[in-house]
Amino acid sequence: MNAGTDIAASASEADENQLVARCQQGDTTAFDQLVTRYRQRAFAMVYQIVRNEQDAWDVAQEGFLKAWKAMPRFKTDATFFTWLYRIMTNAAIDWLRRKANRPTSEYEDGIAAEEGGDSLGPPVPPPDLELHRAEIGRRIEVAMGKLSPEHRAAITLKEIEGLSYAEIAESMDCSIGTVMSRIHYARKHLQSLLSDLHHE
Amino acid sequence: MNENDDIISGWIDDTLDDAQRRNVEKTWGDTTLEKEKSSARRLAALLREFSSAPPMPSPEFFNSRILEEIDPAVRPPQSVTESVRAVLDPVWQVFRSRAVWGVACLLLAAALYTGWIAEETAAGSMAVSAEATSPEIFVHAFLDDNDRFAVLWVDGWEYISADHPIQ
Repeated sequence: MNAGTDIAASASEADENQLVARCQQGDTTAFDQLVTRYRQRAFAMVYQIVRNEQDAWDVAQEGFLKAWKAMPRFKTDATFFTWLYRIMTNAAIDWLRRKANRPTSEYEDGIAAEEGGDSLGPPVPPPDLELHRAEIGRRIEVAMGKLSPEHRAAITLKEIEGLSYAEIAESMDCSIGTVMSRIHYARKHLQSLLSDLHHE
Repeated sequence: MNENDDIISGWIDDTLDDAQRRNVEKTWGDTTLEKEKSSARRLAALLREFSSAPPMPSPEFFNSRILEEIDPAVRPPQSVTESVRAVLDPVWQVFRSRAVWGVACLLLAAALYTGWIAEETAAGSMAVSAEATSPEIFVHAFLDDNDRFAVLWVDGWEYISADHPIQ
């Protein structure tokens, strides 16, 4: 990082701190600016966990509203996005838990029956590349859907979002040992379900 | 998968301290660990390749929904009643002072009527209802002493003969 980038980063941070301070005084226009700044990143992160566009939109909304309510307790020794990340992760995990407690629809039952329990079945021969990629994407989604909310969040934050164990532990409000355990379990489970894909 | 295997993920992701790392390498050996690392890397690459999030739909609407929730000033009317009130409120603001004057004038007029006109009317007047000789006949009389006139109203008879005695 050169000097120019450093100055730009610190200016941005100062600007962010000002916005946060205004939010803490109840300034909704400042919060609107923070939402605009982070909505896409928050949405993308939540999407990786919930795996549905509409649900991700709703969960991200819920996350921002929780952030607004919790704003008076936010301390500027952490960055706003790290703090927001934690709120979004918890909102996504809560959403997955609520979804797990809801009775499954006939459509979801149909998919589960088609998948035949734990085994994802042999890959369908690809008629062309696009279809093949769509099929792989679908199988990954099904495999991720078989993980618990905590395991899914942990592997997503590690492998897709690129967070460190310490950052994941902070986001998920648990110990580093728990993060390690969740990531290991999730890896093993996904490896067994997608073995034919990741050995290609 | 054993319970203690999860430390292998710590080794793969390079999060162990020196003592833990040496212990893991001693327990599982280089070949197993390299195989685990390679498998984890391929899985990570697969997840990243097929996990791109779509762009957020309706980002401006996303903001406006949040603002509606947190800022009452931008919250739209929640019901038909509130919508009607939103339209009528400005009208009410304009006519409120005139309406107050109107009500005050009406009250004053009512007070004047009951205090002066009605009282004056009642002062020299008298209404009398009396039963006639037949129980089917009722006679009502309105007498005014000031103007010296009387109105007689008889119910129950088709006509009164000229020589009928009235009590």
